[in-house]
Amino acid sequence: MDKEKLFERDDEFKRLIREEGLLTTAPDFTHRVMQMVRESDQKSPEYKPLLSRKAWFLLVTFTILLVLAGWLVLSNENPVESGYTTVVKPVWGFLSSINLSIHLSSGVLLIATIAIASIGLLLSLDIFLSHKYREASS
Amino acid sequence: MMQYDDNQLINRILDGAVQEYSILINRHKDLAFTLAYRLLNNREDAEEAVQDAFVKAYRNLRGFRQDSKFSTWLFRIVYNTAISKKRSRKTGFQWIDELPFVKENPDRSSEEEDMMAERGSMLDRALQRLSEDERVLITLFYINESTVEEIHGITGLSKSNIKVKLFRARKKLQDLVGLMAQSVYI
Repeated sequence: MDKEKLFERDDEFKRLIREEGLLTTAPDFTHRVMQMVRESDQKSPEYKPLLSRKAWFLLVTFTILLVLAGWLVLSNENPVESGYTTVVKPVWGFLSSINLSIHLSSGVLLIATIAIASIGLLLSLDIFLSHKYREASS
Repeated sequence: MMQYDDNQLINRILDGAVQEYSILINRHKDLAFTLAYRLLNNREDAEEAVQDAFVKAYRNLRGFRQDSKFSTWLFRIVYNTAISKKRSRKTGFQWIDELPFVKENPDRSSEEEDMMAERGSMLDRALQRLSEDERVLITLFYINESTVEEIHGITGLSKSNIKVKLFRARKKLQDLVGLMAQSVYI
């Protein structure tokens, strides 16, 4: 049988397969699946991110503005040496020296570090919860 | 009641009309079941695989981008679930159902029903002689009228491979049915 003959009989064959080849599920199949769907809904509540994309955007913008404001307003203050600044300041000092000698006060450093740490914490929490959600729903 | 297409239904389900998922199930269950049955050759296993696939699809409904047909996306889940089920079968023994479960038509007379049953049985026997891949391709091509692109999306087989296998499967099946028909009616 060549290709042409195969296609000549194709319509007839297609009808046979469509009529006889489609199998059916048990009558209560849909009911059973819907029951499983409802159970899965109860087991895994819908995941909603802690912060929406819009909120993340606003937060990042606010943080940048906060750091910039702190830099502009507080940069003339005398830095106060503390345990905190002794840890953070050397690193910042090194980075500042690279970046054309930008000098920041401890107030700016404190605000910037708190802001960055807060974002980091929220981001980690968000990733952790979305991971937990995926595990629960799989 | 208003008839929604698959994508409209999905949007309604995502908006909270969970009950309407049953409409999607009813729309696609038979073909999904046929597909799973052609891979697993067992009614119970096939139903279980399709049930699992529908639940998986529901859970991941938000991830369905609606840039392809819902049926293509669903059948890919059914196909993968059935393949996993087949692999996880621990024993080598496999029960193969004797008769297919073909839709009954109340308009047919008992004589017609008998003839249809005979044809159905003949077709089923012929399909059993094909490989799993060939049976799946035949089901998708003839019953779902899937394109090569869609079959590629469902099975993951390369397009050239699909074309070759499909041509061979169609030829093989036509030859087998022809031979069986001759032996019955001559």
